[in-house]
Amino acid sequence: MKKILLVASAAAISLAASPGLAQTDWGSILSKHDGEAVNIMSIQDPFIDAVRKMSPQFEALTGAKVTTDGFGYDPLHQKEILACSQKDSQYDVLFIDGIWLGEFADAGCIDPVQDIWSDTDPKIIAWDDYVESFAGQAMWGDKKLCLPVAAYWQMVHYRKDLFDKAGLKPPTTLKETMEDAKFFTNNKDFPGVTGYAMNDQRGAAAGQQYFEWVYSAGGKPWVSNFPGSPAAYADQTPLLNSSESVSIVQFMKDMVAYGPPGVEQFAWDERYNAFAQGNVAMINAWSVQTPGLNDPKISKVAGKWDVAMMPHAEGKESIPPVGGWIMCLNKYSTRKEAAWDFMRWYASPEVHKAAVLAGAPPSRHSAFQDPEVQKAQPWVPTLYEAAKKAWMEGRPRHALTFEMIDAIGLQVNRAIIGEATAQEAMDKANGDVTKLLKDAGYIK
Amino acid sequence: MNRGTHPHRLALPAGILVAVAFVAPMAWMFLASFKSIEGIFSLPPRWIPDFTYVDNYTKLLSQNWVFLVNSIIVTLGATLLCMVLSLPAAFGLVNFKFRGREFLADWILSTRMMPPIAAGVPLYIIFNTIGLLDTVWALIVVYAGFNIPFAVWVSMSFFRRVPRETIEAAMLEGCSWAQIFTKVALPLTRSGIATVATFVFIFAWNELLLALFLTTRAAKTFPVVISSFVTNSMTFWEMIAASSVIQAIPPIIFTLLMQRHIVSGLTMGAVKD
Amino acid sequence: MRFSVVDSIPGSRPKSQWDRESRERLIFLTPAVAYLFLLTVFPFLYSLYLSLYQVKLTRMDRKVFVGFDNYANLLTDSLFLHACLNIGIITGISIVIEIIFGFLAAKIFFALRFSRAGGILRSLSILPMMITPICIGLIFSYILNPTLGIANYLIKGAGLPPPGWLSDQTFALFTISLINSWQWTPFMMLLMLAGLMSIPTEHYEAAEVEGARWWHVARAIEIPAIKSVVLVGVILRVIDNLRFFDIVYVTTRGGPGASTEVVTLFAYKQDYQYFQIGYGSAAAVVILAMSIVITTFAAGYLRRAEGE
Repeated sequence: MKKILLVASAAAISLAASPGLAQTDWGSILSKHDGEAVNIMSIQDPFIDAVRKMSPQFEALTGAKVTTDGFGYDPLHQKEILACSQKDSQYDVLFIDGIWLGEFADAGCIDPVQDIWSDTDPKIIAWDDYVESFAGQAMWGDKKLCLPVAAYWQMVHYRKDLFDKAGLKPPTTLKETMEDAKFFTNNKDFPGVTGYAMNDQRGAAAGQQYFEWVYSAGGKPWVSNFPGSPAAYADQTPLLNSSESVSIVQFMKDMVAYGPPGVEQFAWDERYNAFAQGNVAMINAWSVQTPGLNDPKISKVAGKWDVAMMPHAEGKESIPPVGGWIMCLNKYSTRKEAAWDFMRWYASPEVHKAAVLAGAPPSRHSAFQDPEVQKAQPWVPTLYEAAKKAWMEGRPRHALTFEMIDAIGLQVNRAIIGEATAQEAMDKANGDVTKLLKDAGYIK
Repeated sequence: MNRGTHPHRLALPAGILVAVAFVAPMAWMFLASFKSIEGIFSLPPRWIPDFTYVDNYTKLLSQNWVFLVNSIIVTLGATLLCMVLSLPAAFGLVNFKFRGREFLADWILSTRMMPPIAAGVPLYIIFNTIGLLDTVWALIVVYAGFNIPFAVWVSMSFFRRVPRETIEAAMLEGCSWAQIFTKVALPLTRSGIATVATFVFIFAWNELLLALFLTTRAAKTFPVVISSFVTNSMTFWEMIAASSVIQAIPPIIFTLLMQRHIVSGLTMGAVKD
Repeated sequence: MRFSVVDSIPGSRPKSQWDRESRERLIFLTPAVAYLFLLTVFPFLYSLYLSLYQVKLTRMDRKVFVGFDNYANLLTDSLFLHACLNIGIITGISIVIEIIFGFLAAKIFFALRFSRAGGILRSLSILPMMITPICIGLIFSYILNPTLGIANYLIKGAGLPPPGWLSDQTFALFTISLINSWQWTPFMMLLMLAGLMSIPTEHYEAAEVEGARWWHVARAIEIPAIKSVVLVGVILRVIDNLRFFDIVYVTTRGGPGASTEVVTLFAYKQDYQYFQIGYGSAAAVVILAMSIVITTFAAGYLRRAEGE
């Protein structure tokens, strides 16, 4: 390609810059793509607005035309996987959920970024700058497949005004969480508020919730999956009915009493809106939703809340959930050069910081440590702590992830609504998942 | 009960109550389309929003007007194709006497039992093979086809009302079937045909399941856009409200225009009005 | 207005005597028939074929023939059995509600049939059944939101305990049926209205002269007059309910537990979410078989009713 140019510019950069100080000379790094389209397929999440806001700069640099289309969660998964199976080239850049990567790798939908970045200055890729717990979700096996640019972690969001009035500190253990939730529920001093809204809806919501809490309860969903496991998929024999698993499901059931009415049917959105409208004292939520809570167009509790680490069982550690969107190069794209130029430009530490300031979620150490970012998003220090303690294989990332999470979510919800005991429900879940994995040959 | 021109004095209030029961939920969504998220969920409710707040609409349409155009193209195309295929068939089934006619008519009706969900995967594979996936053509072909049973059956009930004598007279004058169809039958059943076409239009306009499956970008329709506002991390209620209002405009207009014929339409001609 | 079931059944006409060149006839009939054949029969056969395999849509190359295993699994899959039961219950509850309220509304608009206001109110009342189903589902998840919805706000304002509309496992199926019948009561109403309109005025006058009370009138005059239209309506609604999907998909996703799981949702998840098109196709074939059985039975019943 334009190797000479690249070498020259790399030299120029290394002379000019320690990261964050000087502007990268993009003009010499990126090629011209006059009139060429770069089509991006993405989830309809708030970061999509940041991508759209940043795109004109790339268009000015290269002459390409960037279009970003947002889809709902299920349709996005459906479209991307089907587009791949028909070798479709309409979209060049695909945002996929980190937990889908196994399925996409299995179906061969992605050109691994690791194979194409050799002639790019490592300072632009800056892989080590990505927070590890999410960078791991852009890898399958040892291979770096995508760029982990939109990372989310979960934190407890609590009403600081109410906690201050009650003289309480945010809870750190499951026991304290339940006590605090109980305290705020039906309390005459705090009318119109209940304690804690969880994500209890049958299916993906409850299923994901199981994976969000089980590690902090000291449990593991299958034999070789635990924080820090070197080979999480070595032995996938499920442990869904272990005492830790059952106890965390029992916790979810017990928490219903301290949640808003109808919490059994809550998913991400209901939980969030209940908190944003001031009806509940605590929720745990993905960090992508955090900025909105200070937006008066969305939230009634702007300025009245704060964040804390996810609670854990007595004597255990908090293992916050991690998830989010990784940016991948469609293997069947016909405009790979322009697409790759966009990807490395958008993901670079410099542009990433600008995107974060425009509303994208921080995913790099450099962004987390940046004073401007910390000033704009005061919750960032807590988020950084969560990011560092999270476990990248928190949820299954293989091709059966949807079915498995749904199967577990059905049973967790049955326990929550009292149709079965926690033990019965998780015995059933364990049986169902075992059958699923056996049929697919994942376990013997 | 008074059956004269003066109804019972409670009839009008009762009628108003019924209409309110059916309209209020939709009206509530309509009002939401002029609110921000905070206003959409605020309690006590903000009954009357500020109607000059149209941000939801401008944001929605500036990003999605292309897909609204897709919806219109697909719906009109499907309606046209469906009518072109169905009207002659319906005319033939009414006027030609041949062996197996009854069976053929029943078979056409029975294809309506095919749940779209059962056809999704095979259709996907077919369109993928012939390269029509994610084109408006695929949707036009599918929507037209799925509405043929309906269109044929209801049109048959209209063609039966064309007086025998009129057709016989035309035949004596030496008209071919094609001429009878275009010069006699169609003009006489004009309003009925308009009803059928309107229904086909609305069915196609409302379809989501197959559009979700058979389109990606180029042919995405408006219901698919509405579904995209429900994501795993949040639901964009202000966008849902605005898009639902826009989506509802054609059905509402048509319902008000042709409610005279709605009964025969919805019962596939089995009940006439 | 008048109604007639008889008219819709082909073959009830006298033989037509003017057969002409069959070639011209073919041009009328062939395109639609061929088109339908390609669009429905082929997919059906293909589904039948797929249902004998364990296969993912994303990996069509890895197909494993499993015979009737998918069907056997379906019959032992408690979720699928639940789905079949639930759709039966939804259909039953909805149709009863639709008939009762449809009748009341029909009587009201029958009384108002000569009034201009009545016409306008009637037009407004039939809007729900024309609205895109996914929008109906979204409208009700907005209204029935347990903490922030207008429904519970009003109920609490009236001093009543708000029900767990969609979160209580016994109530949720009822709520879903209620939404379903809200959308389709206008349909029953219109049918019954057409039936009532067909009653000769003299019958009413005779009843009035005899001093009959309203329930006598209903039993002796009105119900017989609307029986056959209602039957048509019921059959169409049963068939429609077998594909009931959008509303559950956006409100409960089949929960809580499996309490609102329905057959189409089940097939949808297998086909379009897990891409297990073998198992999903088997479910679709079963749905189709159910539709055919019900339709055949219903059509036979209609024919007999017509013969009477």
